[in-house]
Amino acid sequence: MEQMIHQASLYGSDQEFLEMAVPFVRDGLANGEPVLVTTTSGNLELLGEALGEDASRVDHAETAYYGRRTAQRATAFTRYWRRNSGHRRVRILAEPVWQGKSARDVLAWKRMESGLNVLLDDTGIWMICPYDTRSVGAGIAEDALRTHPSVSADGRTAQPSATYADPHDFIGRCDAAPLAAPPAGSVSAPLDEINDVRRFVAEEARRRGLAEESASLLAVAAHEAARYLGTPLTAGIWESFGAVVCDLRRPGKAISDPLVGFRPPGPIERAEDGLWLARQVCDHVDVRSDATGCTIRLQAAGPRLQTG
Amino acid sequence: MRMAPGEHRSVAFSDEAELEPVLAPFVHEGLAGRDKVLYVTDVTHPAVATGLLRGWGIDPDAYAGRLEVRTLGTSDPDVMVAQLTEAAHRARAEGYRALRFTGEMSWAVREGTDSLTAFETKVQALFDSGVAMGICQYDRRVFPPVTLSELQRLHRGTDVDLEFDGALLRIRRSVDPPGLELDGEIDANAVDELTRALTSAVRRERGDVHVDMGRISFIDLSGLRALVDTATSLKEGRSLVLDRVPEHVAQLIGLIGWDKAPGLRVRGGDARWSR
Repeated sequence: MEQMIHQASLYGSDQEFLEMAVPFVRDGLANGEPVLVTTTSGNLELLGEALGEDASRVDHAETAYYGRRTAQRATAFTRYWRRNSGHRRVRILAEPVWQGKSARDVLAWKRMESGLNVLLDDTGIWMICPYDTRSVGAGIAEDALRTHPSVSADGRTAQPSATYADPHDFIGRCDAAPLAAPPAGSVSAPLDEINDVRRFVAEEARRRGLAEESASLLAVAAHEAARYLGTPLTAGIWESFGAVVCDLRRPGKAISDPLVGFRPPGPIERAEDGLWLARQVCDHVDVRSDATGCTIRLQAAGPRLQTG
Repeated sequence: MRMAPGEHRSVAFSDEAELEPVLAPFVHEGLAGRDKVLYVTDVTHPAVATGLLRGWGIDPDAYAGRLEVRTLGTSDPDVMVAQLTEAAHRARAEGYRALRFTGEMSWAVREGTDSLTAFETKVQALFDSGVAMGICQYDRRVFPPVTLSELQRLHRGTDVDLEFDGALLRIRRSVDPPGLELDGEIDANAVDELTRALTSAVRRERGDVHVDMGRISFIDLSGLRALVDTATSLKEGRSLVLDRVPEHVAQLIGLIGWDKAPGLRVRGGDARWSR
């Protein structure tokens, strides 16, 4: 198996995008390596035209739908690698959506870019992440150089990134701000038993208007998070715009791995599998440890979510 | 398991070891209480049944006159029920509370469904009079599944099929479709019991094993893993079929990717009835 490679590619025109993407894809196909391209519909079209006949041999996904949340994105990459486990090298061109994202979401995606260096370290993935400098802000482009060990302009050769940051340091800075305190309207309860946790969350979620299915899924996420934290704990729940938020706080507990729950379950059961499930089910999962304990904050879509 | 006069249950088994959890307590309870016990065999020699009882820690010699093992020597439902009625009344006359009857039903395979229905209906009338109670033994190896499922309707309190009765979860055996019915919540505390029931269902059945999930209100990752591990351990050609899977549970199974696990089939809603 080859070593994992994770490169940023900053481009300012269609031409520059293709100068990187076309050789990257063509070389992979020539070597018989699986190639996945997940980018904007605009770039997919450009690349498809440039590749001609070869395009039919490329796995592709419109990027907004390939892992809607960061934990789902990281899982999708891991699964693509596992599905192609017979290969020493798998190529992925992965361009996230940056435009229009909230500051919180931008931070979450930068955090994931950095985390991929750790999460995919035991794979033979060669990933190039294109950043469109015409649309992404300067802060996002600068952080791309902190979250990728090297930079490639031609899809073949690379320059080390001078500002690359150790993922644990980078993620530590992403997580530096404390979680906002629960609002006045939140309900909280000390709970001794794990089955009380899931019941409390399911009932409170239903009371806040979540449909049966969504309430059940949030209860499963809370149960799994509580299983990881241990009991007794204090659960709190409240609504904010568009969301139902649930806090689980365990005094005296600390979680040190900032990427816990980002790796999908395999054949052997691991303690973090439950947190992985919580991260798949929820829109956001924040984990914060401090001197007196650990909080896991789960956020699911609120009752007025429209799905068409 | 506590049984009172009037109760009429059945046990379906694939080998004799499966009789023990149902019949041993039934006989023990009667002897510890104020009942007389009659164990009727058909194809099994009475000496073999006596050996089974000994294996369950019940010494028939110690209960001479109170625990009897014998054949009825007839396959005529009327004659059989007449003999049981007589035995029950004798037990009462001797001062016992009731007659506990258990019997091998393999004669019904020779005689046919009509005889069987006649027997079960008449014996029910005897039980209803309050002088007797009983457990009918059905060997799955000789009875067609359709007959077994009809029999379930004839017997009251099919709870001899109850495999586990916990605070949050109940597990029952089912005959049609063959497998288990789950009722309640499954988390890490219940996983050992679930795994045990699944393992014995896999051993008991020859084809697919069905698990009715329609009354599961909660299942966590460890519970789902127990189901998937059972499914993937099945030999090729057999499946673990999850029936009436609640929507959110189906969604979880899909998220984890276990919907594609070899040996597992996931069916939602009312698919169980559209087989």
